[in-house]
Amino acid sequence: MTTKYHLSVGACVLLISNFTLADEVELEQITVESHSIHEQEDQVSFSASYDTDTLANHASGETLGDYLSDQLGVDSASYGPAVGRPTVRGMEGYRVGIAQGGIILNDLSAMSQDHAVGLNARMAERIEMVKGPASLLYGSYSGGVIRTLGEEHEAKLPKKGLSLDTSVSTNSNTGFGTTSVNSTYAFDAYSVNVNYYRNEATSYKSVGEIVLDSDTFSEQFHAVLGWKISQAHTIKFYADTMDKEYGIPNGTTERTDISMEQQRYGVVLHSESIGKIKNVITEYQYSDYSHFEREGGGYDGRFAQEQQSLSTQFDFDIAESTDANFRMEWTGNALQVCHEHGRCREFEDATRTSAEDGLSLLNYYNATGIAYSHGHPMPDTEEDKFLMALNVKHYLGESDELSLASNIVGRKLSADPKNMQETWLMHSSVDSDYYETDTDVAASLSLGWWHSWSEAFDTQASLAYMQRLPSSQELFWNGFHHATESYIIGDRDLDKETSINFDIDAMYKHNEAFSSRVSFYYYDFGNYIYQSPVVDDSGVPILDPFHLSPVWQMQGVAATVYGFGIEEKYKKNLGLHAFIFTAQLNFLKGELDSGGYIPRMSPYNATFCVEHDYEGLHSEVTYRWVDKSRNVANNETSTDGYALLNFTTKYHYETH
Amino acid sequence: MKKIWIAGAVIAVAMMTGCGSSSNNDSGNNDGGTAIDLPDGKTLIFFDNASSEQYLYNTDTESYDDMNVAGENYDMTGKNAKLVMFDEKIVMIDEHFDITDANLSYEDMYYLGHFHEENSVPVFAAHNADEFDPAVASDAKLATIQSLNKHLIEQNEIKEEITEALPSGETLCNFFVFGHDEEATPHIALSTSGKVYVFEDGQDGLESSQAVFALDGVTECKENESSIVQEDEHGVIIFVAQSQKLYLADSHGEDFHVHSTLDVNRFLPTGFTPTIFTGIGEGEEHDHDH
Repeated sequence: MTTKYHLSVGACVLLISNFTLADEVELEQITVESHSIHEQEDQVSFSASYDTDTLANHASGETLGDYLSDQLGVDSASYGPAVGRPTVRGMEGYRVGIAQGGIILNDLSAMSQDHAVGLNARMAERIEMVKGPASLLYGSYSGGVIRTLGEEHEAKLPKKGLSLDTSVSTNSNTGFGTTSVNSTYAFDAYSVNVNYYRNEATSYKSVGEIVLDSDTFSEQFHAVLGWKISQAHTIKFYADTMDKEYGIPNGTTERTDISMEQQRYGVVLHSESIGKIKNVITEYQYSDYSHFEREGGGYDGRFAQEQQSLSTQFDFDIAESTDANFRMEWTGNALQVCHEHGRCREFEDATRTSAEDGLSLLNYYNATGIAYSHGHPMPDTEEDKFLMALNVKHYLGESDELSLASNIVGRKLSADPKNMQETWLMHSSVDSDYYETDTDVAASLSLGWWHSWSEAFDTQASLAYMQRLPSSQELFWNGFHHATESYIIGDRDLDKETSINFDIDAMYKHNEAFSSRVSFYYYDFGNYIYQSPVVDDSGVPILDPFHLSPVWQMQGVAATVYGFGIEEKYKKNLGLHAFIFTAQLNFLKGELDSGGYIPRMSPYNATFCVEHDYEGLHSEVTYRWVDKSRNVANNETSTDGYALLNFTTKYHYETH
Repeated sequence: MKKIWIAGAVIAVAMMTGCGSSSNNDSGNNDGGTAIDLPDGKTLIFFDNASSEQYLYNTDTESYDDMNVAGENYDMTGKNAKLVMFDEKIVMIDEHFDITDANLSYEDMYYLGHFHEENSVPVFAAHNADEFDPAVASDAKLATIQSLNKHLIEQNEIKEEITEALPSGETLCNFFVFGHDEEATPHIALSTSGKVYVFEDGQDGLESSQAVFALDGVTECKENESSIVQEDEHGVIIFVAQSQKLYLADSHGEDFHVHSTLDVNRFLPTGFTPTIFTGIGEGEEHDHDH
């Protein structure tokens, strides 16, 4: 076994000022509080809610994945410091939902490893991880849903008066740092909230070497206007604009980078009750997402997605010990993809002549058996999606909660190949109905049981049958993929992804200072959608004829993903010094029923962390061990194991 | 904050530049500052056989110049011609000349152009056809005409070989052959229907070496309305008048394919619709990571 050791020492200085000119100002007793994320979570059955300030204190980076990667079973799929999408219990990409409030985020981070998540985690007030039955309210995601909640998602107006939170930090490795300003002013029945965030970092250094093109820049502005219409109704309007620019550290000789922008506008109506229904939240959102992929300054790629969403959700009582959450949502989105060297500043309609459609593609199909294309990788697509979900919860005394949730998702998917170069259109003799409009329905069901065995011991278990509609990219993509330097072929006839998911979590509190947590999961996929290398009869990987890159085929197969995680936590206070020691172990395996392993699964890993709090000073030392990849898929490159030692210290200054 | 700066910059630039373009029709850059994805180090000459307009485009400076300057040897005003690339020289010859009829004489050509460097800047210079009149021409110029004829005869032989290799129903429109000494010498053949064939020498003559691909937007190709010139050691630039596009087709150890496409009206004067083009210069290799 070859093990590399990297030593990374980062020092952060965090200065936070917070003042509130509220109606009443109280001087509080000085207390020493720990900033451990494990201390701050608000754990209820199947969901955990985290205060973003606390996550930020603990995070090693600025991505959503960085913020959550200390959670048991959560990893960050990173592609440089700008990109970090959370993976949950081996589920990644389209199997993990990221939502703002209830609306699934309009970005393309699930599509590709180099696409950043279309939000800055620091901008959220709180971040929730929802698993089990409750997650079905937002869609069908085997890895659950991560919800980021902003001021607009609070049913109440902020406390009257003016408040201002500012935060400035710098990073010793990359220089620059982050700035955030969050200010709220509330009076009478109105409120204004303005939230600004900026993060900038140059390329970072690893073992003394600069990692080229690992620089990142992000800026986001979020504003919310609130109006308390009546005692029961509050309406909040919001607008958000975000820019990201980041380098892609890859093997190309010229600089590769991504320039991303997103605008969102929406309105949320909170109603305490309407008749017998309670906590009614109705939201409309319009968002416009776009990013450019540049190489050597040339605009080689562009992705854009426009999305509108209208949703409503509410709670209602069925019986004395039974209540329910209902949610319905319509989402419409239009996706455009351009990939042509130097020609992707604007989307263009391709030229149409009397030439045979798809002639070049057909020639390759006849010559190689694969319908290779060197044009735009997919047609423009439009989706209309309707979701309806119900989660019924029944309480048996104080110790048991039973949940039964189901959802149904209907989708109309249209493809318009007007952007596709004529000669690279799908030829009718290869697939005659390739561009035809599809309608499809997916239904999921989940059963959950939370039980408190004693004051010290809780368990929660869920069993779900999930169906996920394949994304338009999984269906249509046919072309080169920069991030993985591979040629990817979608499958237009992919069936829905189906799985039976079993999760069980146990939490045991040995005493006030010492607690344990164990999770076990077993996901049995009847149809697991993934990319598999294409090989010839001798098992040799096939390379595409244009770039000699390995060819990966999107396919659905029977597979199993299972694993477990253990977390041990011990707290100790010595005067004004508070210590927390946390140890985590994660084991995960993904197997194909036909034999072999699922590619790109996280290797076994362990994390040991010691946190120290003294007045405003928070320091932590983290040692992370990652095993070599033992369960390597056919034709997948094995990775060596490594260990990482990280030290951060932050000073928190707060004034009232 | 960045947005505010950008907005300010946009307003400032708009105020400084005013509305509309100030470029005239003699020289300029027609792409509003957008980088043109053509290989550096190239000088391209575009000629419209219908209007006799002739423009020179420099890929380094991304600017064009009108070549029809009265009094210059290379002024083609009122003339019709076709371009021949030969030994790093550009020869503008009579549009009806056919090497199978007779050898080329000075009367069949208009000018022979080449580049020489002045202060590291390539400068176009041309010799008028009259300079190649055997009555007055130097031995070197006569040798040039002889070499040119040899080149045209060789090209015609290759043309016949490629014509034979094309599948039935296909007619050769234009072609280009990389080097002569290499074992696998790619022959790029463009058919009159706009398809690109790649042949290499095989045991029984030329054999197709990869799948045939089409040029987007092309249904009809004519020899005197198309051109293929070498981009670098891996690729060619194809021009077809019907689509008014340049196709950069190259191979990086694999199949030749259209790497990128460029509308000529992005960098040439508005309204100019060339029928043929040629280019000289080393040409830097563009990035082959894609």
